[in-house]
Amino acid sequence: MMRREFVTRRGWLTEREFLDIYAIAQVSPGAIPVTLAVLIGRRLAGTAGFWVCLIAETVPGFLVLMLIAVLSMDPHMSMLRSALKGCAAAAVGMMLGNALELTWPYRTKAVDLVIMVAVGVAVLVLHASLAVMFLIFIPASIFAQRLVKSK
Amino acid sequence: MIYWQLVAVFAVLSVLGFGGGNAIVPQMYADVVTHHHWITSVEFSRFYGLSRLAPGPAMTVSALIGYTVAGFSGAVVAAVAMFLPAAMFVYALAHVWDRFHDHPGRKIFARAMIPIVLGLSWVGAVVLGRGALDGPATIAIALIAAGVMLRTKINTALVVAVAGVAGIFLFHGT
Repeated sequence: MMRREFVTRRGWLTEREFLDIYAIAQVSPGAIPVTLAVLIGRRLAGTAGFWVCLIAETVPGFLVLMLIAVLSMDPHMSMLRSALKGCAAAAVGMMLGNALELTWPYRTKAVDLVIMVAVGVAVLVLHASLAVMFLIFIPASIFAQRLVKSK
Repeated sequence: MIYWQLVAVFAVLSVLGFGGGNAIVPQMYADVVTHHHWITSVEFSRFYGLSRLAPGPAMTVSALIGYTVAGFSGAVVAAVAMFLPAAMFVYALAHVWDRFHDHPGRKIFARAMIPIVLGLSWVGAVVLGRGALDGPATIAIALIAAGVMLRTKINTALVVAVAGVAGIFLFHGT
């Protein structure tokens, strides 16, 4: 959707610039839409563009959330809490759907499946912290991919 | 001080948030529910559900947690701690990107991250499910949402909003 807006409709970026920005977002931490926004801002208007896009991408959502949060903590708003229960259940389903959809292309790749299960065990059973997880699994995953390729 | 604790938790999550945000859900849960006891597991799931109405899931949830812990200023501190470090990282990376552009390590890293991020997403769904699914009705909503997500291209915020309305009919007054 962002590609359509910036590349096709407004012509602010070339296709190649957008792909480059997308490649950076893929190897960076942070929500992809926010990362894309700040990088597009930086490309178009330097440091000022970076800040403008960071604020524009995060503040409106923040304010809407705050409003709902304030309302839902009001004891008279039990209706809103019922609604949140529905939202929470839907969010679980969407996370499952998302995980399934993204895992599907790798369903026949044993190496990826083993790493996924190992990650699950490490976090759920061994309560490994995220930092430790990355320290162990990034090298392990790189090594495993190399091994498969060299065969 | 509580603000520093918020910064410590969310700034670390921020720079570790590879793969778009879902991957940090398990660690966020461990920090704010298991370790600091700032919110319950039910609240965690509901906040997450609420955050899906806005862009950047798992990210905006930090503002709701900050709000519960320390009011509006807590929300601002938590949100800044969640978004700013990652954005600075990206800014710095973009500066040196030309050197990495054709570096083979880039593709190797991105490829190696895929199964790790996916594994963490599955764990995230389990963690959220613990607080959100408490009976047939919630499980049904989750399954329907998963099906809609897989079969259609409907905006995710809309799915959450519809589930919210369903929640009012199903759970209000019970």
